Parts: sequence; C-alpha cells; structure tokens
Amino acid sequence: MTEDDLESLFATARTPAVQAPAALTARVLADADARMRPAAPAPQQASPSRPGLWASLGAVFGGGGALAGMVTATLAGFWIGFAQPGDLGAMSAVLSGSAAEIDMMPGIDALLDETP
Amino acid sequence: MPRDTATSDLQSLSDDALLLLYAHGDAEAARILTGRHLGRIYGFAARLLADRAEAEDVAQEAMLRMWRVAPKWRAGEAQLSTWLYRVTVNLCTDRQRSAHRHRAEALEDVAEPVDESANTEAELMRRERVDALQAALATLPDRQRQAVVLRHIEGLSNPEIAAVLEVGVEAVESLTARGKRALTVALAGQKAALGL
Repeated sequence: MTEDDLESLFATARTPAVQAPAALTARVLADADARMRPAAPAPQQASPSRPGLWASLGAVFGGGGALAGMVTATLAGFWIGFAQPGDLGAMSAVLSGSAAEIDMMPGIDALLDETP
Repeated sequence: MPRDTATSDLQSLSDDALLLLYAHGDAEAARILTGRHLGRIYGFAARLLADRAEAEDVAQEAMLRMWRVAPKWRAGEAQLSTWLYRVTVNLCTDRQRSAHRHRAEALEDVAEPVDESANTEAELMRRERVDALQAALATLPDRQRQAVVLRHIEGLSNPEIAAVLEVGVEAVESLTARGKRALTVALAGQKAALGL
C-alpha cells in the first residue's frame, strides 16, 4: 500500500458528499425554531409631533440663544423708555436760559453751617 | 419581496451574517445554515464514531449549540465551520470515552450513504474501498483519526486542524503522519482486493 493508494482511498471517501438524513434535518430545524427569538416587531412609525412654540420661534430667529438675546434687548428698551431720568427737566431749563441759577450741590449749605 | 428572492439574497450572506439574522428571529437563515453545515458535520461525526445513530445525535447536539450561541456570536473572531468541527470533535470524544466502545465492532454502521439503485460493479468496489478505509481508521488512536479525517477527507489545512483540535501545527503534522503510516500498515494486505 503506497501513499498514492492511500490518497486514492481518501478521494473515494470524499465523494459523494454525505447528506444528512431528512429526519435529522427536520429535528435540527425544529430545534432552531424552538430556540429562535420571536422576530422583533417592526418599529412603528412615530407620528411627527408638532414643534413647540419656543422651538418654532427659535428656529425662525436662528436658535434659542439668539431668541433670548432678542428678548433681553426688547425688555431693556422698554425700561429705558418708561423710566424718565429725574433731573432732565432742570438741565433743559438751564440750557435754554429760563433758569437764573442752578444749584449744582444742593446739600452743601447744611454741611457748611457751623452753628451747633 | 418575494420569498424566492429573499432566500436567494440570504444564500449569498456569510455565516456570521446568517447567525445574526437567526438571532433576531429569521427562520430562513436557520434553514440556510443547516443546509450549509449539517451534512458535513454529520458525515464527520460518522467517520469518527463509525455509528450512524450516534453521529446523528452528535450532529444534532452540535447544531443545537450553534443555535444557542447565535445571540452571543462575535463576528470575525472564529470561522463557524471550524467552531462546529471543534464542538463535534469534543462531543465524539466524550461519547467514545463514556461508552468504552469497541469501534471495530460497529463497522457495519459507518455513515456511507446507501444508494440502492446504484448496485453496479463500480459502486460495489467504491463501497468496499470506503468500508476498508473506515475499518482502518477505526484502529487509529482518537487524535490521529481526527487529524487524518480532517486533513484528508474534510480537506482542512493544518492551521485549521490545529484550531479545531486546539493543538499546535507541528502536533497536527505529527498526528497526520503517524496516522497515515498506521493506515498504510493496516491496509497493506488489501491492495489487490481493493483494485489498487
């Protein structure tokens, strides 16, 4: 028995390829079915929710940061317009010449009075 | 998508991809994996055990372990065919150890497929050769028989066999060389009868 003879026997054994018996195949597939996880249901299409008011406004003005800045500027302008500076009327009278004098330091007389 | 088209698409997928699909509940992936691997590991187990019924049990158990491991299978880490061969070798070894079987007594049960319609002279000679080889294989120590069958019948490379048997490549070379020498001696007197 030479090595070539042995190789000839191996070649004979290789063909034809062994087929699994049908009953074995059925048992194996039954095992596969029994241990198979149920197929995951297809994810439901999420209904597109309407964006909220602030989200919509933010999108229009270029984002939430830009919107916050715009709100701050609006409030500051409103406050400046509402709260008139107190001495603005007196300053106007001096500049227009309708006032004889202007007391630049209204509390200084009390401090200079040395009377106990 | 029509079923035939889906099956055809799956046929082109790798074992790793099919295992992943099976792990997510695709029964068609299981059918394709079974078609790819069951026959081979059944035939391999039959050659190691020389017993069809036991080979069926081993093949079913190996496939069952494959179904179980599918959810944890790490693609790219190992070839599924190598993994299945390793599982099959271990299952066969366990059975041979536990049963203390005398393999030579079970030669009539080798896994040679029987085709009753092919009783030609050539087919009879083919069966005689396969039976003689199977009988000679049965006389080898387990590891030598496993290495010789994997190398010369299953057609694996030495590194693949090393991965299956979990030994070094040099050990595989030694096992196959000693196994072939032993087969040559065992078959020496049958050269003429086998038409060689």
